[in-house]
Amino acid sequence: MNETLTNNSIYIKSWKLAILVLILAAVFRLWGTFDLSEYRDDEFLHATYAKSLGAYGTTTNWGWHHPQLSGLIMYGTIKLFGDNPVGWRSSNIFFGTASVILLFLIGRMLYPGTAVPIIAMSLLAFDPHNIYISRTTLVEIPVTFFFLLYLCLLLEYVENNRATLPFAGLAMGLTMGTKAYFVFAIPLSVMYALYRIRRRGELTRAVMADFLIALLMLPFAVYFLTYVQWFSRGYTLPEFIQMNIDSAWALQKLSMDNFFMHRDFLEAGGTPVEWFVKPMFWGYQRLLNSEAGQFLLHCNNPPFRLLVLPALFAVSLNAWMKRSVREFLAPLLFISCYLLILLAQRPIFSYSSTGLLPFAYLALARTVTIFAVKINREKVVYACFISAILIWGTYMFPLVSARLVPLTPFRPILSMVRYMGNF
Amino acid sequence: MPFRSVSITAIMIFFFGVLVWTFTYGPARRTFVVPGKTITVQSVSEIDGLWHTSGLHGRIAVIFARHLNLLSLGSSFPDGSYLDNAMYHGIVRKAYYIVPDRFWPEIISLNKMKGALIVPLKPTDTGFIMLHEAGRIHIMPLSKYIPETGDEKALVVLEPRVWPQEEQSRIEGFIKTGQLITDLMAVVGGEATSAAIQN
Repeated sequence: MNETLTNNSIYIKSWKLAILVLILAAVFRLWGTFDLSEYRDDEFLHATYAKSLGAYGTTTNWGWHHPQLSGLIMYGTIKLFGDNPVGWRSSNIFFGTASVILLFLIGRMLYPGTAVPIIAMSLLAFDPHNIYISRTTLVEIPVTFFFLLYLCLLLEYVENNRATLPFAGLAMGLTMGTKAYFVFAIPLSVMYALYRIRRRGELTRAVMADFLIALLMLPFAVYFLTYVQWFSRGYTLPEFIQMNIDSAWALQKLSMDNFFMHRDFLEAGGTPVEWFVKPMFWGYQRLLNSEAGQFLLHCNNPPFRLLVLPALFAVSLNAWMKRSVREFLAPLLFISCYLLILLAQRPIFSYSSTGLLPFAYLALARTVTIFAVKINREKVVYACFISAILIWGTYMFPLVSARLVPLTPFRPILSMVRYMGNF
Repeated sequence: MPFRSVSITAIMIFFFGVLVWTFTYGPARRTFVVPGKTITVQSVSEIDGLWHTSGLHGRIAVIFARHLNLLSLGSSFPDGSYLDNAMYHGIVRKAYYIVPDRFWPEIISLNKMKGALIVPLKPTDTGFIMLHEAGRIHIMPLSKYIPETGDEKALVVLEPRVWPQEEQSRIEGFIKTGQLITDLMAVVGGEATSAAIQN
């Protein structure tokens, strides 16, 4: 039976399924997020950081190492909604949900005419750990959103010839102003864009000038402006450069001793090398009795993230055989971000994997489509895979969102927990 | 293409505007004491109030004392939080903590406690730098100190009783020769140096 899908299949061209996934992504990130009225994880640090940043242009904790935009955004939502869970968490709910649709749009441009976009967005939408992080104040969510926005706008310019280059530069500046996860991925994506334009024979001096202005001058101007509060403390550009050198030095000096209060939690999340290799669950609980409780579990989305490294290999091999740089972009972006984390000489919390997920899931989705085409069972494979993603995400949702649940259905997961604190 | 030329022009104006802004906005936000003055305070705890009530912002502080904010360095020095407080509130953006040479070994021994700090002290040719959340604090013995504040007026704190005559003369020399310009000098528990500002 030939199951080759037409372009108007629900898995390829239709927006209906994408919108449904997006709505569910929003529900999973929003439902009950504001019920927990106390700080959790690093929320106390982030909220204090944001309020101090807004009021005095500096932090009252060690967050000075990192760029300031996420703190300013949170300060804005606190001013708007108050110093309460809505003020703390609302921006991450938006950025986490919006990242899902951006991944869909990027998938459409990198793998047109395939089911990659819908599968990749589903993987991100129902990733229990991404849902968890999107319901907190962690900076990994906004920085990933800004990078995906930048990449989407850059690809629109490169692949669809739209006048989005200045907007890509704007988003690049916002990415730089949030955190440094994409310091290798940004130049890599620029090189990709230049390569694609050159392959089309359109790389003129005017295009080079456009790149220089839109993707160098504009992002740096935006980046400087994200430090408006810091500059308001009397500083100038040479002091800004000095501060950045200091922060890079200080980050390299961090050791496990600096995290002694969270040592068990940090170690339970595994080293970066383990993130895509070993299944891991850890987190916090509040037991009502021996039969029911609430949980805030972290995990590395075991069934799917463990497939990522083989998938990256398969996609890279496929790209090599097809001599397609476009097919190779997702693995390259993954490697560039992962390399930065692996090279960092300091302990890293596992939520730093958030920035890797879009490229990991694009690669995994691409592998699924290659496999489905190969066995000529596209509809069945896509339906099964997306259903599995949805079922797993729905099953895990109560454990990552502090819903009151009976323990019995979740004992298989709870028996695998590496560290369990109380909240 | 008109859109292209308009957007390129707009971005270039924006970029150079922001670049100029990074050099001018901060200095424009700094506030000074006019006319400059020298104040004698009984303890460093009074400096906190003095700096707050003087309407200062975005300043460099140069502190000639035996103790600084030793809270961060692991000591229980009781009045040490004035600099922390000033830095968090944007009064001071950068500080120089100059100690008498004979107390320098004591400071170095505190440096060995760096495990207690989230960010270790950064060694330099002259001493080390505490990378405070709200700015740099340069720490060095007087013999290594050469004022580098340029034309910018600094907030000076001087604790005369801890300085031998020879070192106090050196500090006076910085102020007399204009190497160190100050608009607010706080003298802790003693007479102002004879070279105190003349405004």
